Amino acid sequence: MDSDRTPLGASGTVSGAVNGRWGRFSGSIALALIPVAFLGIFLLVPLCHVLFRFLSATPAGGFAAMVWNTDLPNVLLFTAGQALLSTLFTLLLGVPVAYVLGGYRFPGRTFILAVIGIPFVMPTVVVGSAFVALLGPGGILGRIVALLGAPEDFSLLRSLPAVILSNVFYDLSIVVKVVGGMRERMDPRLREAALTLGATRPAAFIRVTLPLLAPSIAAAGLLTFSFSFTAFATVLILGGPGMSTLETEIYRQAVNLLDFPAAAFLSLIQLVLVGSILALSAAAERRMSVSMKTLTAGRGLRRPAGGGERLLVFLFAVLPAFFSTVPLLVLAMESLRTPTGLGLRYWRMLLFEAGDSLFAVSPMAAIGNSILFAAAALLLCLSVGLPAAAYLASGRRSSPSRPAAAAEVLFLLPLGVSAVTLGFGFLLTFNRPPFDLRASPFLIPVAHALAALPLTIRTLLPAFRAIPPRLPEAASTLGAGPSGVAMRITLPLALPSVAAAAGFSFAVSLGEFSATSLLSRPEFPTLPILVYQFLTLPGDANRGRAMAASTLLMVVCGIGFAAIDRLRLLPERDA
Amino acid sequence: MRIRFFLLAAAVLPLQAFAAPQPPVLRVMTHDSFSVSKAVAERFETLHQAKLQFIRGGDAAEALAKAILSKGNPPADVLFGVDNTFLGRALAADIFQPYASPRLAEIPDELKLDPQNRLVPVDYGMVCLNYDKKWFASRSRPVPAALEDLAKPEFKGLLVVENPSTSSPGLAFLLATVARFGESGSYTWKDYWKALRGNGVLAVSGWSEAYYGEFSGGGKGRRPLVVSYATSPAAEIHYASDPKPKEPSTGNILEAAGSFRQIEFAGILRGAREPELAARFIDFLLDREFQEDIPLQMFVYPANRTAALPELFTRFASVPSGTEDLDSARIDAGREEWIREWIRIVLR
Repeated sequence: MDSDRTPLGASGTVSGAVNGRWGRFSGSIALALIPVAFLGIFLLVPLCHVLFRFLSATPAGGFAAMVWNTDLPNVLLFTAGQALLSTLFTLLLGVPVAYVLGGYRFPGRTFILAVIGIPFVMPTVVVGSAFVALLGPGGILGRIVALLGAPEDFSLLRSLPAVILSNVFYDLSIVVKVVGGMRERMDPRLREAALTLGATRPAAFIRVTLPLLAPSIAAAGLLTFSFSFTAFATVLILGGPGMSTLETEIYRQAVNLLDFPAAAFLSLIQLVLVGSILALSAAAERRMSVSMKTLTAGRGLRRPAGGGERLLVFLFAVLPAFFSTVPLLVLAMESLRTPTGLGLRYWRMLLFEAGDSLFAVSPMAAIGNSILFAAAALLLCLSVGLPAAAYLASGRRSSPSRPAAAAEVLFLLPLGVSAVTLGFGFLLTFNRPPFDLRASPFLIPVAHALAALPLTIRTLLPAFRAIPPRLPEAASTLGAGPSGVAMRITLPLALPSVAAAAGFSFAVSLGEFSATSLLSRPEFPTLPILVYQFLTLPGDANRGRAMAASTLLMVVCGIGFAAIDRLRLLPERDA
Repeated sequence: MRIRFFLLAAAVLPLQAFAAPQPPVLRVMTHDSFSVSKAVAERFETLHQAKLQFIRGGDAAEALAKAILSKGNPPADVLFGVDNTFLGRALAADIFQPYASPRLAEIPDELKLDPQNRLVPVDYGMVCLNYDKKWFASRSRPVPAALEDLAKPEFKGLLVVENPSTSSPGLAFLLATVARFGESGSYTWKDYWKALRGNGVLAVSGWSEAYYGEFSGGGKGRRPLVVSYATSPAAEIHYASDPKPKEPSTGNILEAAGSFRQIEFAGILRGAREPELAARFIDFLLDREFQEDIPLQMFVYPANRTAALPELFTRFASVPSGTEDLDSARIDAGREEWIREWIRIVLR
């Protein structure tokens, strides 16, 4: 089955032979142990704890009341609808961008790649204010459409398009990194061979390039869908007040109404729905997966040839970069705009005037903490994610063993877990010495790593699967042990994807996903916390410093991405 | 499973051992808006030979939810920041132990809502309407004088409020309207909100979104009326960048009620590791020194009547009178239903 689908028969796949010599069974089980243990302790135990505690006491009739009280049918409809639309638009924009950025070499390419990744870390409150300036009444968009004759106070805020637009803004980088990373390592000779054999360009695209990209497109689409499905802050901040997703409703029930059973009930529904989607799409992705010869990152890149390709590059690389940059530029501008004209006053206040509060935060300390937590989360995430992806890639693709199929869903399950529910699970589970970790800063990188794990695995998996099995086979035949195979074959070949995965976990941690569900310690403030702190009190200095701190976060993130990108320059070889 | 926990312990124990200091540690859980001057907090530490460890529990509602979840085995000794809109629920959860601080003598009786002193009042804020002075002045339009005005056509589309199901000032404002218009009679609070909806009220999820996102006096918004606090104009001056304006750019609409007094309480959590020290901390919270630190740190009013207000407050944030108070038992009985009803009227 696999070999039929391998284009040009570049490498015949013998299913399951990856670990052949050194005992596929023991080897792969050892690989699975770390991620299963990590997810067991930090995801399943707390989650089961919280669900069992609040659902076991609910009488059967209680669930009917919950359906009514939470307006469940409408919430489900909105959740799924906005997620589908967001995924559709993110893919429509993201796939061409990934195709261009992963295929062509042109000036500013690295810069554009970094810029497209930055929105991912921006605190939603801040992005919200940028979107207000863009989409709100009298905003930039409003002024543009007013020229076309729309009413003067045209506003997209608090509407479905605003929610979708912000989801696209956040998730575009996922599609670009996941699909672009794959495209970058595709051997252009495959396509050239098709052309030589008489295929037209569109035919070569449809029959060669697209099938090779399909697994990564599916993976990126699934991630986008899951993120949009569990959208929280974008819906609260940019959506209309009548809009709620399952995630916002879980939060509202648990926190504002203190109705823990209803929150647990909704969490269970979300978990089951996202879990089933993950299982279905994992199966679909396995069917689409093909192995092929891969290249060192960047080797397949070529300069755009001719006017047509240059236009293509311009349309799909420069314009979307513009789309990602504009809200960020708006923020940077706002940090310079004082009541008396442009100036650095807010920056000076941010950097040099801490104030007399016990909790006054020096931005340098916040940067340090942010980077420290992000680095810890990155290490944790990779040490769990690499074996997890290697384990999944080692199994037979078309018909994996039952444990492998279950493990794949388990590894991606954090996508469907409500942050507030998991936070409450932590409170209920890690609450006795010596494991009283509730207020321990240790849990922060753990939570961030959990949130980043599905992204990491999804980024790594298509790359691992694309490694022709004969390479590790040959290595082990020649006497390399499992770790030797991993270090000298698998890792170098998958390096661009490892770098992309590292970038994601770094970004997830910098952006503080799910931070509200944990107890935090004011001694360890991070940049997003600094931003939120400023935005809880009135005054132009607070607003200005929040904008300056957000700009600082963008800069830290951009530098971080650039540094991680250097990983690819480590010595590596072509497959 | 046990083995994994053992491994985890090996990884974490050194951290814990490292964190165990010589003086006793008092753990205080607060909401994210809590603040205190460094000097004042250090005074407590030297006076009692103890170390204060603050833990942030999220916003006020999140912190309370976490305290209730950890009933009997709390992650902190003291919880600061339960307000009167949630007082009943907090007390019903039975997570606080009573402590009648001698300092309570200096606290007005009207703020003491728990006769058993499980939760004692520390400060209070006043949720009311703020308006953008420049917006109204430049158009020579009158500022609304009372809640009723907001339903009139001349104020159509000018007001932004917070959703009471996700925001504490939003809930406070809803309660103010319930108190003002009542639940029965020919014109109830529901009729008022129907009229507001007809008049283009905008509801957003939280204070930051309303104040910085939609209010023209705070950020880049377009609406000149917002539900905020009576101390917000003073904060606009305090947190103005230099040169400081002489007058705040926003004003309060307080005259004909329509404001709600949000009282914040603190209490000792049942199962506290340091109950004695926790009691000293409650004394400290009510003591004049901390109380006089409150206004410029948190922009709310001190509960202790002997505490002097800073000049900024006496000039721009004098304590408003004539609020519509609902007693906390009535709030507790009605809150959920009012919120649901509000959602039906305003959002659906």
